[in-house]
Amino acid sequence: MSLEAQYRAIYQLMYKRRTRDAFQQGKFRRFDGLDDAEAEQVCNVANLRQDVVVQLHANDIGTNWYMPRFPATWIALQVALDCDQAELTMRFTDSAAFETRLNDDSDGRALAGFVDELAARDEALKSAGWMPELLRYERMVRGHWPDEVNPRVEAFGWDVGGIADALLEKELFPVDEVASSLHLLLYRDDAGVSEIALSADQARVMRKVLNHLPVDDEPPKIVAKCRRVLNQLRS
Amino acid sequence: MAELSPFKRVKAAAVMGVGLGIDIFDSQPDFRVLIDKHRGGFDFLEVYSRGDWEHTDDLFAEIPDDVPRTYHHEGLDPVGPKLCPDGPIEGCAKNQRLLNPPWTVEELAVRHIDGKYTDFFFPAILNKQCVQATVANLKALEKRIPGPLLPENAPYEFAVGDMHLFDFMNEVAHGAECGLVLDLGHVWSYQLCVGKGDQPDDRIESLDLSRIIEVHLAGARIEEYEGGRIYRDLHGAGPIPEESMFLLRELLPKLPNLKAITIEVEDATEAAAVEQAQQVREVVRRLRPAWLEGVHVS
Ligand SMILES: [Fe+2]
Repeated sequence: MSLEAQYRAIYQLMYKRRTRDAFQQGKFRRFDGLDDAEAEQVCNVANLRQDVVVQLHANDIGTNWYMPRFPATWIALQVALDCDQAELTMRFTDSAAFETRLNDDSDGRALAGFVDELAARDEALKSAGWMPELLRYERMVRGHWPDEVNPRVEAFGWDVGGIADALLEKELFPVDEVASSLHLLLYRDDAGVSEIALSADQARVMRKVLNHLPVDDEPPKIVAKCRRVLNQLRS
Repeated sequence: MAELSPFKRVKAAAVMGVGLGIDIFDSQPDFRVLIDKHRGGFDFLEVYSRGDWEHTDDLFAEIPDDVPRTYHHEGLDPVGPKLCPDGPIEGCAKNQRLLNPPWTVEELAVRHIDGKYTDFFFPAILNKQCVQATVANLKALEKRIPGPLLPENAPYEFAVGDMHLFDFMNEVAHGAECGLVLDLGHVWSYQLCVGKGDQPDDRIESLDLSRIIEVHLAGARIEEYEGGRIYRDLHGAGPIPEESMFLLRELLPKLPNLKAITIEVEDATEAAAVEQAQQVREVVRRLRPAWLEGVHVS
């Protein structure tokens, strides 16, 4: 007998679709740790009303947690998986990755785990090999960095800025996108994250400048430009 | 001298009047604008901190001392199987020190299950085990949080358990010797779950109305499906449902210890917020005029 087990059962009915389906189809009769009376109370709620509530919350999670923070990835996932927001959320909450979230997953770590899982096994994501990099880009632009190095040069394996633009501005899902590198200088302060696109040469020099390494063998024009950009950012 | 129970403490508090529930982090409504430009439109503020109890100090300091306030905390998960972690408890005590409210509201819900944050307030499971856990939690919290807690009935979209909500609330209030917030929209949300949506006051006489210290009203949206209707909180972003206003008219004369009526107006414009307060104030003036005597906006 445990109240904990009852909350756990309801949690699974809300977020774990395969478990809910199996329960509703009679594939198992009671959740772990429940006695007869508790099992009956839980059984009584696993009905149409609760199904509707699950749908409503799936939409809430998309609308409140992911669309405002990682919109390009969130839209791209729906297109790639050919599903609506509620369906996407229900697939996601059913995954192990969803359980790695911190609070409302404001830093997107759980979503990143889900995208990685999909990229590794889902055919639908094969034509969108840029998805993990797109999310890494959106997370970094929102200030969720793996460390405190600031400013920093970040290299992406795809033109994630262009992909995000296509999805958000032109409402186009990039097909036949080829891998190419994108170098960004990222700078974070109270106002948010600024990004400046760099060429491969500029990125190489900028890294040296940021790490206080010798730049004598680098083209003086590029060195000067890097110093100027950094001064402007920090002022 | 024995310590007074939380109920006796809130019962002894002064009447606050008709107030607005605002989120301290919201830019709309902006509490500073409400205070500067609409001070005649509300008697007090009920201050929420959206679960982020840490980053409130500077904002709380912007509320002038002469604006009466109550505090609405989040994260104590009082209906959970065990006591919540130290963070939300210490955060609650800290924010009480900053605001000095006569009481602190907390939902009868959990926001974490097995430590995992949920996307909404999971309302109390309505059975004896949950009553026992809730009473134990509230008693433990009373020892660690200086100001009295006032538990509020959370919104229900589906109800789990074999008890009626009002029996659950009575047993919690009597067991933990505390007062209650009755959220009228949330009452209706429960009635919609148990097939009594057309009688929002069904069984209301079974609730110990002497325990109701504060009443909440808020905007809501109703989701219809082929099997019924589901209540969804909108707070300031919608009109107060007629069912909630009906409950207010029904209950106003029957709440001997009522100290505060809060209209939850997150996301409303400042003008819409005071308009809803005005709508409620007119009902109070008509049905219980003496109650408003002596409060800020009479
Ligand atoms: Fe409320």
